[in-house]
Amino acid sequence: MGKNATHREKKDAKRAIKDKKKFKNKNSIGKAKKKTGSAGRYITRTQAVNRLQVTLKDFRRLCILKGIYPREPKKKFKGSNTTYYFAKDILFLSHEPLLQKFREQKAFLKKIRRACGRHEKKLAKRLDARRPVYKLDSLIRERYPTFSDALQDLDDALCLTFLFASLASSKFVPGSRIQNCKRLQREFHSYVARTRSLRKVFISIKGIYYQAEVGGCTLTWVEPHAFAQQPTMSVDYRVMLSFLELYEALLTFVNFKLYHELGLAYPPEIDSARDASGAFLSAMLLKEAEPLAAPSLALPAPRPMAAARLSEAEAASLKRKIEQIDAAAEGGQAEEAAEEAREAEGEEAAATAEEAAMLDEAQSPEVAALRSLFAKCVIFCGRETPVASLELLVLACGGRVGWEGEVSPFGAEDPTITHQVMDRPQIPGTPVASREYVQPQWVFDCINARSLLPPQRYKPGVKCPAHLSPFQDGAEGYVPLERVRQAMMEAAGGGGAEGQVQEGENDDAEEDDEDEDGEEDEEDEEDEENEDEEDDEGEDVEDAREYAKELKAELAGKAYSARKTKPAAQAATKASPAKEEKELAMMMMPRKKRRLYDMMQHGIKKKESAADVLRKKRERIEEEVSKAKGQWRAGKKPPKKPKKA
Amino acid sequence: MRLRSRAAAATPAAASVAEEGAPSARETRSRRKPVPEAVAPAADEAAPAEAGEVRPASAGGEEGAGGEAEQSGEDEEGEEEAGEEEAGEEEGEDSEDELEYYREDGEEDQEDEEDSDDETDDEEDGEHNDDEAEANGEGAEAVNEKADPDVPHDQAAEAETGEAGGEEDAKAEPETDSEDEMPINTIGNVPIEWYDDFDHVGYDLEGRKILRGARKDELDALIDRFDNPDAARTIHDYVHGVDVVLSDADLQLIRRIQKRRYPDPNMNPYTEMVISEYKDKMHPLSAAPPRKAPFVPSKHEAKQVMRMVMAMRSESYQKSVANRKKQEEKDKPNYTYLLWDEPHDEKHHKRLPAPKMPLPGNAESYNPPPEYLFTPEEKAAWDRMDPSDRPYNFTPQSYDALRKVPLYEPLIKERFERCLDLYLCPREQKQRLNIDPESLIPALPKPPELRPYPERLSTRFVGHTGRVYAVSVSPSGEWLLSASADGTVRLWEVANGHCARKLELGGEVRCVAWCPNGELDLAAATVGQHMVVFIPQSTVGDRHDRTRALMDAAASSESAWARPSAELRAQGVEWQERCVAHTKTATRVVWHHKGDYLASVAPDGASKAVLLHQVSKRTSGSPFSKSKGRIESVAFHPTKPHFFVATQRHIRVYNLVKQELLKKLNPSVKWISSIDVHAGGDNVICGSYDRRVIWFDMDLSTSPYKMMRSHQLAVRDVVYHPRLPLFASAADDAHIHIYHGRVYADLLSNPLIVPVKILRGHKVTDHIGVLSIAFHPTLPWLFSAAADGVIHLYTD
Repeated sequence: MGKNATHREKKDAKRAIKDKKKFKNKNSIGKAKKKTGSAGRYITRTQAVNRLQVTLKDFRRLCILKGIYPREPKKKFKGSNTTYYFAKDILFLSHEPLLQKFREQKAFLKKIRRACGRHEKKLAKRLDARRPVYKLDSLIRERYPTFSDALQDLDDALCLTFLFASLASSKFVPGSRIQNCKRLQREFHSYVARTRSLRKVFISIKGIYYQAEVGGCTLTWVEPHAFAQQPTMSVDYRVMLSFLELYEALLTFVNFKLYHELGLAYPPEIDSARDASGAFLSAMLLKEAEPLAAPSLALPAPRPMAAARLSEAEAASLKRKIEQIDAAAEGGQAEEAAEEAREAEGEEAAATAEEAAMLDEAQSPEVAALRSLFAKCVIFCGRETPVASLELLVLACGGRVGWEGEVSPFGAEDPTITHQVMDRPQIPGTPVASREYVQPQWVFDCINARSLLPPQRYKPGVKCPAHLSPFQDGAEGYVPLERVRQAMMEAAGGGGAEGQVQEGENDDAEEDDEDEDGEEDEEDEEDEENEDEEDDEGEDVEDAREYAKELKAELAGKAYSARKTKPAAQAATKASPAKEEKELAMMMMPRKKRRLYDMMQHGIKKKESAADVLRKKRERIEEEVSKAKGQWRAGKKPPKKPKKA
Repeated sequence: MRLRSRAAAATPAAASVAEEGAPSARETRSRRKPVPEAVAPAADEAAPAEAGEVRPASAGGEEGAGGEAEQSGEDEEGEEEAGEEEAGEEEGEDSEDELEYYREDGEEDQEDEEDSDDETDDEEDGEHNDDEAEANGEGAEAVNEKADPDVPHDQAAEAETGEAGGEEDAKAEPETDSEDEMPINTIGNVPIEWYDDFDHVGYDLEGRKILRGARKDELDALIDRFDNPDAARTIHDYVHGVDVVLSDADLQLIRRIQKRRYPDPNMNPYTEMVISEYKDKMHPLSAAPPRKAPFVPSKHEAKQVMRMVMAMRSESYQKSVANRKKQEEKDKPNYTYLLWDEPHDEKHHKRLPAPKMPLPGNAESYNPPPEYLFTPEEKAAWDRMDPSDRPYNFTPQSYDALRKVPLYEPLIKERFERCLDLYLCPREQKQRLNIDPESLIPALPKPPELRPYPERLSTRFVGHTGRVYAVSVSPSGEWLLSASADGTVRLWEVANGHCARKLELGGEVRCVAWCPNGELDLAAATVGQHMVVFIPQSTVGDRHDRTRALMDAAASSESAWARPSAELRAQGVEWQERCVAHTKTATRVVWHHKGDYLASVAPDGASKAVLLHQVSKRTSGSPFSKSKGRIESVAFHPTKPHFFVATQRHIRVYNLVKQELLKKLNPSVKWISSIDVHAGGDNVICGSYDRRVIWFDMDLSTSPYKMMRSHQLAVRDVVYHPRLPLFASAADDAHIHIYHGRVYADLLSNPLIVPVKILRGHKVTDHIGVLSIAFHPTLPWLFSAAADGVIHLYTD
């Protein structure tokens, strides 16, 4: 009896605990409590996967395709190492038709596997014919409601697609995908070349960067150097291929839209014969959408109607930008202060500065100059150069381009060739007098400088002048000497391409006289000549220098003012009261503001010190070089030439 | 004979080779035979029998040639030897010099033999590394040695074959290997006895008979043995039926084989191992040549290919391919249409766009300016750095030409990481502070607009030998009193910095304060635990008389004060509160503005920390029965009967009439050092040892109105100017900060505080800077006393 009673008691206690658990998350009338706070708004990844009833793999894919990313709740209710999503995002995912497709696909694979396992070949075939397929168009429309949205997010798509275009096909990446990527790349390049919308290029050790202005958007992408990238095992190809799937679709739509705007048929046909013999862009037969037209090879056609429309779009976007900038200017304080602030706070300001720069470009005739930069040039590329890249560059700047191949528009012996791009230690055979021999960097530097640079310093076998990034102009607080010199040169030469060309010609004439002297000598002569000129021209050059200095100051921003220590020292007595005033005023800063101020100053100082390291290093190098030069001169012809360094 | 004996001698050598551990299988097999001979007495000199008779013992006669030759030499009797020898001679005639050569050798041999009989092995030397030489006492080795340099190696190689091609040897020097290998006799492997009855022994390649040499009977052989010097090295070749004279090289070869050595003396068994072919493998599994199969087109494959070709030509296959293509076409989504044709009106999910990748800088260029490249030190530092700390994810590099730029392999990894960032990183919109850092600095009136304030050092009062703890200015502003650790109170003339008087109070004087009543000439100071009241100026005049009258008036009955000692009195000290004295060192004395009451503070004095004194009555009393904490400083309200008491953490305001606590100000500092009350009475400043100066506006609240953290070290003293809108703070960093502190009459506007000047005249001594400051009663002048014993006067 007693035993029984204890048993019952135990049972009751158990039930009580169970009930307690049951009602733990319920209110008094038994309804589930609504979660509040972060727990209500966020959901962990495991919960999300469970709710959607998909595998983690599929969830990942879905997130990639739909553009769902984790969030950072203020209060991490399930620990700090967990990934959280917006509960609403997950709800949004649960209504996705793609989810159903994924499930279908899973079921389909199961069926196929089963049929194969039973050796039911016919069944498997029949099933295979009904393989579930899905389309991403609605999804893309949803992610990018307007075309400009798509363009703004195109950078990553371009980079990834073009990277895959350069991959070697392997078991991870089927050849068909790579072919598709290559096709998309070529179509996009072709558009850029035709509309001449290329703005900046940069040869990096990682690859070649291009920046183009498409539909009022600045797109930047990188393409690896022309080697077949071997797939590495250190990356997860499933993730990359999921992205690629989306980007391929996006790029197809974008390309179609771009071609449509130009009034061209899409997809463009490819001349297989030309393609086989190395033509990259010229192998594309761009046709008008309705009537047939001649191949578009180097077709500097007048702007078609669609392009005019494009310019309208451009204008609209520019207008918007102007408004933004104006508002910013109004909101800000004096211009100097604004500049300093921009420097201090970095990225965003840099972005706005860049926008402003872009704006300037659009307003100035610079872009026009760039669009017809190579208009008078006929450029022949050697087979050791990156022909595909050069073809894009030259065509996008209105030039004619040929290469070593059967289908090249002109051969290597063509007398009209003005520039021959080659990357060899020396010119094979006798050089043709009517053409300049340059290294590939010349083409890139010309585009960045928006003018034809004198080709002397880019001769084959010579170490080219430093190749500078066109993307960051002193944003790091340091402007390399090369850029300063370039600005000075531009200022001295009136900024025109013609002046420089003339200069180049002069140099040429001189060079013909003293061809034997060797390259170093040549360079030297050049330098001296420059110096002589400076001496002669006197005042003009002085003005130009002033201007260049100002330019330099503009480029350098605050770093420049820091560099200008001597005048500051002169004004030291004058400045000290102001300094003291500042010190006194800082005494009255509240703690919060002072900390903020200190942090800002720390950032500025860090940047400056980094720039200072570079500056000092450069000074040392320059000193060494000048010393070596001096020695060399002293050793070779001491009486004739007095030392200038 | 010689051979045999040598063979016997060879046995231990063979054993020694075996010990050396490099005997081939062949050698071990052949070693067994000589062993019994070795046991038997080897050298029988009497028997002039020739060892050298070689018979083709087996088809593979090369094997163990030495051993077999020896055996055959033993078995066969030298019946035909003489004849053979002759034949050998005859045949040998066509190359005479060769024979000569052999003969000479033979002679030498014999001589050697004789020598060796008598002598011990003198010739044996270290040339032979093997220990075989010890066993045989013969000079045979000497032959070997002498022959060594003369005989060309190819001859030695020649002698390898079992046929012992002596014939060829004798005939001609240069021979090819193939000739050497091919026996001239073509009869093959038939018993040679079959030809015993014929003149010939077989047929050559052309089918001509090979005639045997002249047959010798035993007698001829015997004669020949004595006559022919080469008899000892002549053997009979049965196959060709001729006698062969063995050359030195042959002998040497035979000897080497007998000794189980490599036949070729130049053979080096311990060559260096060559691993070039198998770099990736440690040991080659086999040195076998590659199989032929991979180079021959496989028939099976050809068949399969053919089958596939047939299948591909078949109609069904074509159909299936077409079907598949169709299927793929069908499956491939069509994205070639205008997606953004009509405006999208659906409500779409707004998301943050991913931040773009940073654009490349100059450092990433393939040909950057030289300053971007690393110096060796920078490279080392770079390598030491954690990859996540590095400013770039690549190492700057410079290439001469574009063609030299290699593939950047991590690009794919970088792109992958970007992909991960895109879908795995939480995105958050953060407002970047887009402001000028200078705008954070408050805009204050410029100090020059707020003049006058003390700006420059005008007078230094030098004379104290210890720290100057306190300074006090006379109500008229002409005189200055200073209290110092050297036990003196000095009276200075403000106008010229001249020390007018020096009072020695007999102890460290911590504080001195001039009575604010301008009618009187009175001051108070703290010496040790006492407070003394004295007349600072011993001049005669109205004020002096009035003071003296006050001092000399009869004290009230409760008076607790006492007259000081005669010495002190001589110095002008009038009264000394004595009975109700502090129990601990008094550090501060503060006058009420009317000049009758004064308060003294001894921080460690517990309940007697504060004493209130009345000069006219010469009474003292403790206003608090219980201490609220360590009392640092006190102050009187300028107009009301309020009393400010600063303990370590708080400032309490008491109403002395009602005897109640009015307010408790909380400066939220750790240790208050000093306080002062504004002339208006509503504002209080307070300095603290934790470097803060706090302004209280008591109309506003009991918490600070403004807290200034401008000093680097502990604030020692704070003081208001009695008339002008100025206040100052002095600290251990030896700086004095002068502020413009304007209090407005209307209640709506808050006090304006503007720092106007930092005075940096003093020196830090023993980590202590300025100890006390005092403003001139009317002018914007500031007196400051420092631990270095100097007093400064700053004027505007």
